[in-house]
Amino acid sequence: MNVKKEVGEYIKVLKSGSGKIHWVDPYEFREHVLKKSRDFEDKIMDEQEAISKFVKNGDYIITERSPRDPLALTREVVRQKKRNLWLCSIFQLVVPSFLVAGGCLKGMDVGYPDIARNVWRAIESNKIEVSEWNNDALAMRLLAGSLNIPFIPWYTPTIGTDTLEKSGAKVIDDPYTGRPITLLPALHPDVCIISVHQADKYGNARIFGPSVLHHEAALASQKVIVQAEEIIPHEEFRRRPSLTTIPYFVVDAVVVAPFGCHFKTMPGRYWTDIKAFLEWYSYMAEEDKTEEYLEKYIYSVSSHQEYLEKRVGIRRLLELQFLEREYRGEYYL
Amino acid sequence: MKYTDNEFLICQSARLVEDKKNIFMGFGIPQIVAYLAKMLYAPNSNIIYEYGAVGAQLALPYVRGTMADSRNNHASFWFTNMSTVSGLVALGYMDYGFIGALQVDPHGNTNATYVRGRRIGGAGGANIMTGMCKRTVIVLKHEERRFREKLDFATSPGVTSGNLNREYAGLPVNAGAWRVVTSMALFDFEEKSTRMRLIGVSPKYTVKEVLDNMGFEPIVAENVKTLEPPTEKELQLLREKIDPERAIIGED
Repeated sequence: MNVKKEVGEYIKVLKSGSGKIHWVDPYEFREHVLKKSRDFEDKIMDEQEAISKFVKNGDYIITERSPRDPLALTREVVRQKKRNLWLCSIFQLVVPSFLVAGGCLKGMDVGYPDIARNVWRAIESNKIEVSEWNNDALAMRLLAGSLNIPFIPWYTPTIGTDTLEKSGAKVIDDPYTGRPITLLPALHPDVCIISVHQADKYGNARIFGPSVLHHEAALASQKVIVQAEEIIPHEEFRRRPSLTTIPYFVVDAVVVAPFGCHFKTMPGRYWTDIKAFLEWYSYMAEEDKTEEYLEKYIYSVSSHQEYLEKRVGIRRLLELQFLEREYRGEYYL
Repeated sequence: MKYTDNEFLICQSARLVEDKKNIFMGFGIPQIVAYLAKMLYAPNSNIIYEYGAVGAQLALPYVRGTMADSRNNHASFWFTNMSTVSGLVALGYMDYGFIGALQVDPHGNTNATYVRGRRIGGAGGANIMTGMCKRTVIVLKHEERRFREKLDFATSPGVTSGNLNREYAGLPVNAGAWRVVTSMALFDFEEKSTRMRLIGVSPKYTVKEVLDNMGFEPIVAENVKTLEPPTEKELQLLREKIDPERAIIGED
């Protein structure tokens, strides 16, 4: 039986969305992976070096969270005035607002685009371009990317919705069930910026707690920059391999950034700085205030360490650590 | 006892949850609904978040801006990730979904993206929730502009999607949009036409007031019930334990 022909006759594209997909052929991606170093080399560097070396203007980036927003590295992207980036905005709360305010973004794939008004304004006035998806659909695209398969069938965005029309998905008649099913193209970001609880100097990393898509995002991306709360000995990973979330050979840079998620939280270590969060929210709500915010918290300090010293302070950091104390046990810490 | 429109909406929604079920939760009002339901009506139900916290217990009070942090995840029995939780929905493990909406159409299709050209949020996890939870409850403020014959943007499918029935959309039948709870009324969907049907009204309002504040005409059930007002116990929990800062329940 000539199965290929039969399936070819059966499969019909019912609908194609008009959104951009940033397509990378799986075999092209594989060529890149084949060239990546497997050496156990010391990849620790400061945030200036990591961002200038691995994030290029025009790159497609993902900042994985849940709720570990990698804000130390996000601020550095803004500080270095990167331009024309495209962001995978899956389950985002605050990171897009920084990149939009800093003029870094050309566009976004949207699952959820941030709660900040400046991002919503940029979208509705076409200052940035968007493709619409769903959080789960973007998670599936990255899952497909991490498996290096070209697409994955999934239930969203569903036929009949405007979300599908504005996505880059296709709906086909499923050759097995006969029902319509959405095909999501795999996603391969150029750079994954990800915050972790612990890493060794080679880039092996541990994340504790629920996570949107940490290992999928890291595996699916060409380059991975890890923002670590602390560095632990490599032997620890060999002693408890079940706790490893990201293997070193996908990682290109390790940036040590204690309290690197401030004003957001690192589960088990420090809580959300609610006061700073509300301040950020109100600055981003007003069009003429976003630049003032960036000046105060990004441009006027040269590094994450200076940000912590001059804009947050040890007293506040210890307080946030204290507020998180009762949850430490839930994250192996 | 006096109560706000949001308090009515939250209490009415919470009463729809059966015990010993899995609840897939959106943020904001839906989160408060699940908290109240768990405290009073469904103590053995599991609260499940799209980012991977399963069976989270309540860390009270509710604090704004803390989505996905340790308080939300407290005493879960499983930490996993978004693709796994999405799989749980598709598999059929999600019994109830609670979700807010900017607009709803007569068939339960919802808008969470654009209103009159203004961007407000985005789809998030709405499509899989309104598409595949066993029973999805849509909660929204009862205002004329929120009930549209045609949505400004169709983010997520309802009982039918435009002219496409659910079978054509590829989604399971007898799942998804199940009730609409507003600050004035309770609706289900009439089986044959799949159109929204008014089945209950808040004791503060009349059927006419409910209909006058809608942008389309729903079916009206033969016996529209007068819904119970929030009980003293519900209000006490909401005001003293869950949301003492009144971030969600609103001012008096």
